[in-house]
Amino acid sequence: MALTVGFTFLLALYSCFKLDNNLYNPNANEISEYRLNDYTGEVEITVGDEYNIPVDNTHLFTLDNDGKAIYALYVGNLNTIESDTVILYCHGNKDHLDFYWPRIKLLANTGHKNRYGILSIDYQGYGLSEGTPSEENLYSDVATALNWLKDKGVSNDRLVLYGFSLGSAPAVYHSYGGSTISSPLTASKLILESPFASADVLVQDGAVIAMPKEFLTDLSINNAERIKDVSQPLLLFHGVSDDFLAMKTHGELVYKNHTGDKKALRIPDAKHDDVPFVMGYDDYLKEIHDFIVKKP
Amino acid sequence: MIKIKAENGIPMRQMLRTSLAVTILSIYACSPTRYVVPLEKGEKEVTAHFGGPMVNFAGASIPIPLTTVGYGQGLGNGFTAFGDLHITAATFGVFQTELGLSKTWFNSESKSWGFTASPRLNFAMEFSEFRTKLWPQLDGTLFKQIGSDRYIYGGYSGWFELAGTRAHGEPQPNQVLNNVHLGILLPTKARKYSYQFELKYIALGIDNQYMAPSYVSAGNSGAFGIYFNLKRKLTWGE
Repeated sequence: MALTVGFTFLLALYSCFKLDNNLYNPNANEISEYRLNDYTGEVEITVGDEYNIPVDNTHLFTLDNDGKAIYALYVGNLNTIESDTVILYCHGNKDHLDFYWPRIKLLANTGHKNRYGILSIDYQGYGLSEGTPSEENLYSDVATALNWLKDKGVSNDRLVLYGFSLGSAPAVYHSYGGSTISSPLTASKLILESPFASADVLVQDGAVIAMPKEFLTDLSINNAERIKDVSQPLLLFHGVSDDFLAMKTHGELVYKNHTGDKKALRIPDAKHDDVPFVMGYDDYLKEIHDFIVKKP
Repeated sequence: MIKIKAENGIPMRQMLRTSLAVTILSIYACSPTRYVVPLEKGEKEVTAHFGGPMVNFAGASIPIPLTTVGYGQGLGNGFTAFGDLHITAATFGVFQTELGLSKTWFNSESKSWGFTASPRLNFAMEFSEFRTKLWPQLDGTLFKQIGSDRYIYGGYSGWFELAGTRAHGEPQPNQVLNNVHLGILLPTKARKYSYQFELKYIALGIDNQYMAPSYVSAGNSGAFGIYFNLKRKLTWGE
């Protein structure tokens, strides 16, 4: 019996299995090139041809993050980016820019077609971006994207950060003042859709009891606390029927803890990733546009 | 009617749901009821438990393969002391153990019926931040002998959350998790070994719709669990 106790103790002490890697789903549908409109694999949402973007306004390129190539997609006119308002869209944990291309196109129709520039990246390990997904790399990759925007002349007052699901982590991280990875730009407004509250809430929702997250994960995603230091206006979307990140424990908590100007849209019957579809694309885009143009 | 929660066909979310379920529940108890029938004074036994709550994974409903090993010793007068180690929890870097004492009352000299109460204490600790958790549990089980060393049983198990708040200071909504179980104890021919099959319903009344693990449940709350327990006597009673 003593041997069994000792074995179990040592197994626990030296074990390295955690939930963390299961959070990232970089290539459920692998690609060898980005095909955008010609992509025939699974996509997050489908949009009609009326949302198509002129080819001249679609720019695929790579950024360099400490030697790792990060693929980026800018939708808009690069000649006017200095004076445009840009939405940096931080996508979720699944797949790549082809998967999110319809969403990016949809966002590019906010206000009217190409009213705003849209930048999105594939995090390390996602799509064709090099590297391995990790929480720190999420933050660092988005910092790289912000650097690019800054180099192009985008300023804080014309930047909106939008985080969907996993993307809410880097979006909040680069909006609050305590980040250890420096944020080259600080967005003037923040949009969150189906956000995580924290790794703690994720674990405790599944456990039903107040189990420490350290039992299962080393993730330090903590939007619920970081949002307290975000003074920028917040627009939050969350599906009432979200059965992955429950609105009541995730979205509502993030919303509650934000103390600045804010608006929450709780979408009945919407689940985790169909909020725009259930809302209706016109209504969804109108909410975003109204939020962006609203004067403080 | 048993409802299988429909998956939305996204394999990775299934993986995360199942991983969450495996890891959460490997830590959070989910073993069969211990020592429904007490050990005789001086009797010693080792046990191995397999099984867990049912989850949806890759289109199938499967019990989470949790593993626990344990030891029990009869103290006489219907008392059995026992302790367990959770092997699956250990693979996730959590040292988890439980210590308990069961007391059985029989209806008569024939011992054809009985009731066992088993309070126990669960303890878990992880080694990155040395966070710990303690939670008491109380089982009450009625059993009936149906043959030589064969028993059927059914009862209730309550898991108690001592913390009043959860993450970010939010109120802890559930202080007691209520579970029920039905099972059967069967000997082998050699009598040195016996085994136990148990069906549990875990977290009665707790809404499971909006949590990442995808449990198999009747309706939108709780989860079914299936368990198998193998026992081996080390020494016989006086």
